[in-house]
Amino acid sequence: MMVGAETIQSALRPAGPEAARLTDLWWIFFWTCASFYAALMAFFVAAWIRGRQNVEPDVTPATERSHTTAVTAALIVSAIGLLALLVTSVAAGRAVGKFATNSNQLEIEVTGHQWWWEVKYPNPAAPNQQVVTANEMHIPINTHVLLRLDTRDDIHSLWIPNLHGKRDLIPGRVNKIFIQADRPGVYRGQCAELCGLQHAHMALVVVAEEPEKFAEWKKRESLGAPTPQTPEQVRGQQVFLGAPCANCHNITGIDASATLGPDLTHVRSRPTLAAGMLLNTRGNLAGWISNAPAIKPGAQMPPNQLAAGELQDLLAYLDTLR
Amino acid sequence: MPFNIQHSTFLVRPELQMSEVIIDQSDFSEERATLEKTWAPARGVIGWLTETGHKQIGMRYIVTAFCFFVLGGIEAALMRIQLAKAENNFLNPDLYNQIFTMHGSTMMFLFAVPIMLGMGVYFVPLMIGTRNVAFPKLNAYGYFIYVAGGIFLYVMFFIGAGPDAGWFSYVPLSGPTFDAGKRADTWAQMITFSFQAARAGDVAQSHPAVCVVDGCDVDHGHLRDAGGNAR
Repeated sequence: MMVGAETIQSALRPAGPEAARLTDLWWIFFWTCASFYAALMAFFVAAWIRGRQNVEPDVTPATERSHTTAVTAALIVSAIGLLALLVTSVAAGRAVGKFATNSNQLEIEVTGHQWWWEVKYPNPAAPNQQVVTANEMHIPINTHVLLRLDTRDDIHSLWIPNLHGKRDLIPGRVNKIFIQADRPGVYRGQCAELCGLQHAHMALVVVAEEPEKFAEWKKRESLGAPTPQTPEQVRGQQVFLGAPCANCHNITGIDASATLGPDLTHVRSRPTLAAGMLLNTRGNLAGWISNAPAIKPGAQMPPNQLAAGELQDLLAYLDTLR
Repeated sequence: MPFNIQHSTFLVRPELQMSEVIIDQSDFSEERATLEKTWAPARGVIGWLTETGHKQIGMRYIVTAFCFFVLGGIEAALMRIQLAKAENNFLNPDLYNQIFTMHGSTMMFLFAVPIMLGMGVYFVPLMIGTRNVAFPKLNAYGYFIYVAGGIFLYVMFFIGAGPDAGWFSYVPLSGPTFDAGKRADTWAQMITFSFQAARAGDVAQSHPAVCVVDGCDVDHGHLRDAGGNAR
């Protein structure tokens, strides 16, 4: 919804091998359970109709034997059904686990915050060029991506249904999950563990794209913020550095390196603001800066009492961060 | 009071000799009247409050649990209304989290557990052939603290201090870092009451069952085995 019709959050529309395996498992469970349920209801209706017909109970030994046989057969069929589901489930779990051994990996660190996602692309060779973004993740298609999951505060759970199942983010430890997208698209993810007031508003988008486009995006994101060109933009940068903004946010290339809030180096290139709540438009950004708690109660971003001119200058500067 | 008891011997089958105790039933009339008076329920409000019969207490558990079931169902309906469409503003996030937590806590701790307890309190003495549970007053006490816990939870909810950290009070979300105020304490207090009721009911009803299986005797609220040793 936020970034176009392609953004669909559905476990039944898999876009990667792990999700496809889980979707197959879901359908197997669905049809097996639906079949058993339909059979059970059919027997129930038959018994009900028979009861209404006041048929005298047949208690001859032959009938008793046939009843015993029927119950035994039902028991065996139920046991086989449950066993089949168990085997299918274990097999799916093992198959998903094997995906983790694939090579061709890209590593991404995802950190959960109340209530937004921090996404880092570590670059051990050049740490100052690591890419840090928020509430969006770009991945190349047909590439196995290792997500290292950590949290800064509460327990969260990352769930990108089109790409994989859920994985918890536990304070004090790093969990791993592998995802892979087989086709380009924008897939919505969501926190799946109650994490406080704005748990429902903790979304992220995963943009799966051709490797070349991903490389372009990553190269662009690894650059620092551009130098402001117009007087308005220069004043906006001064507003940013003088106002409380710089106390919480990082913008690579200027004297703002706090990590409490999302990295803003390329904030205007992202599709959404406030972890999926708002489209990333100038108007929404102005509203968010002015009074974030009114839009997202409980958010740590405080209201900012900026003069109208200061706000416009700040927006002009932030517009350059693409 | 001395009873008029006679012993006699008779033969059931030629090879077996059995004895029987013949009791003159008329001699029990006074004791029966005394016991009936003792066991008769008191009347009025005091009678209702001091009632210890297992059927009455069991039925109270069941009826009260169904009342909480209805409240939990209403909360579920409110949540479904909120979730019926995207970006709905029927419930604000804070109220939604409270109702979400109240629904889960109610269904688990004020309905599912107590209704099973009520069934046990009602049926176990009937199934094993005892007049009442082993500890009737403990049983009644359990019911009242269960009700007190439920009322406490809902009063706190209606004054805006309902728990909001999930039905089992998710940690660390329910800790002081993320959930300042008394909301987690409200939940913990309700759980304390509810579980205390459950333990009281369990003890009250399970000991007669243990006795039937284990051959012990209930003596004025103290369990003794066949040899008279306290258990």
